[in-house]
Amino acid sequence: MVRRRRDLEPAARAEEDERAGWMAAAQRGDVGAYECLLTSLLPPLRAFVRRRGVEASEVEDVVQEILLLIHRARHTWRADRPFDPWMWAIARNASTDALRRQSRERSRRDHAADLFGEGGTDIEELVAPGAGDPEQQLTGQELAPALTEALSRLPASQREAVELLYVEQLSVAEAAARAGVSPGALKVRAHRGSRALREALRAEEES
Amino acid sequence: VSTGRSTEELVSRLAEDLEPVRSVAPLHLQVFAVTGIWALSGAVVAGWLGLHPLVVLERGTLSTTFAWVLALVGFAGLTLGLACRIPGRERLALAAAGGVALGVVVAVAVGLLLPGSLADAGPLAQCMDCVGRCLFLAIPSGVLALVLALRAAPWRPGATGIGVAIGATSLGALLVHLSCPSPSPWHWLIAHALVPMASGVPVGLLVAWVLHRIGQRSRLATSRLLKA
Repeated sequence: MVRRRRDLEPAARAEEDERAGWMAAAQRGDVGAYECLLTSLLPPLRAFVRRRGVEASEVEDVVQEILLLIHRARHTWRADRPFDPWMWAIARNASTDALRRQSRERSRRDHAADLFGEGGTDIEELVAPGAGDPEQQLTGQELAPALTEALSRLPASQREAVELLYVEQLSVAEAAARAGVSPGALKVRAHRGSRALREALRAEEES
Repeated sequence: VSTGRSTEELVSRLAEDLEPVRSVAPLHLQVFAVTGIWALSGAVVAGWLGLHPLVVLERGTLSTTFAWVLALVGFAGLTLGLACRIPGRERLALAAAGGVALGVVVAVAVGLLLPGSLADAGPLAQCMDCVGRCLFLAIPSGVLALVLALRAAPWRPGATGIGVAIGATSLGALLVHLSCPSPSPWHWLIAHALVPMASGVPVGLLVAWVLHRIGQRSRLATSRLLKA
């Protein structure tokens, strides 16, 4: 929860004033002030993103998203308004987007597990370098052209389903909407496509 | 965003990319500007259709209520569209969204309580005429609000699109309500309130989609610039 300015300790208020001064200078094009500002924001932003429940492996990515958004929206801060609420609003927005993305990613993985079974082979397992038994797998460099080749041989509808789900990483609902079919039909196409890919890659491996 | 690059490195790249910027105008000035354009279109309407604000009062409480509801939804919608693009103005945006919701609820409630039937709204052509004017008169204030929203933060396209579209169509409808000679409350309800507001929704969704695409492009352009 972001506190109101009048509730802040004098030290915190002084920090906010310092940040506001840097931002005002940055809006005039002062590179040094801007670097000071962004650097001073890193520790509180990292702490904030962790508190919001973003996965540890994604914290830096989300902090970078926030910095980019601050950069793109820096003209929306006005010197007659407090700086911190402006900055926290951007941080909240970017971290909410990240949490939504994580949740979509989780549901996509759950869906993949539904399709192929927990122990089954997923496209991601096929393409993940070093996944499974190294001797049974093609190396990443060999796999990329083989996978591209196998994908190009799939029927258009199956290729589209595989690309939407596994390359563009859309959710089943989004992919189905994009393909103009029902979610069930999309699942079937993706399942058939991934099975065909698996077989093609196995054949490649054996040859 | 920039996987593989350290955050400290990104800070340096952003600082290198820094260019002076002009702050956006204060929110109240933005709202005044949109109001000014709306008033100007009102002046045009006065010459074109004949604006008779006092007729609204003479037609009784119900007519005045419609005028207030349209003004509430109009200004609240535009404030929502503009405020939600400015980081830190979320409370105002939320209050404005509440205003829009309240206005819509009142309009619907009035509709449920009205005696008579839809047929009392008058001929379809007359209703369509009023709806068309509402949409036409929404253009000046809507376009200006959209331009101002585009200059602000590149986010929340949905709330911006819907807020601006419903707000602008309601303000357009207010001008029509102030100039329409029809004495029928059903006509006011259908042709001056519900249909114009409902028309704002698809227009708002379209605007939201455009804003979303523009936001995506600007985000990609920034990422590319930083990678270069």
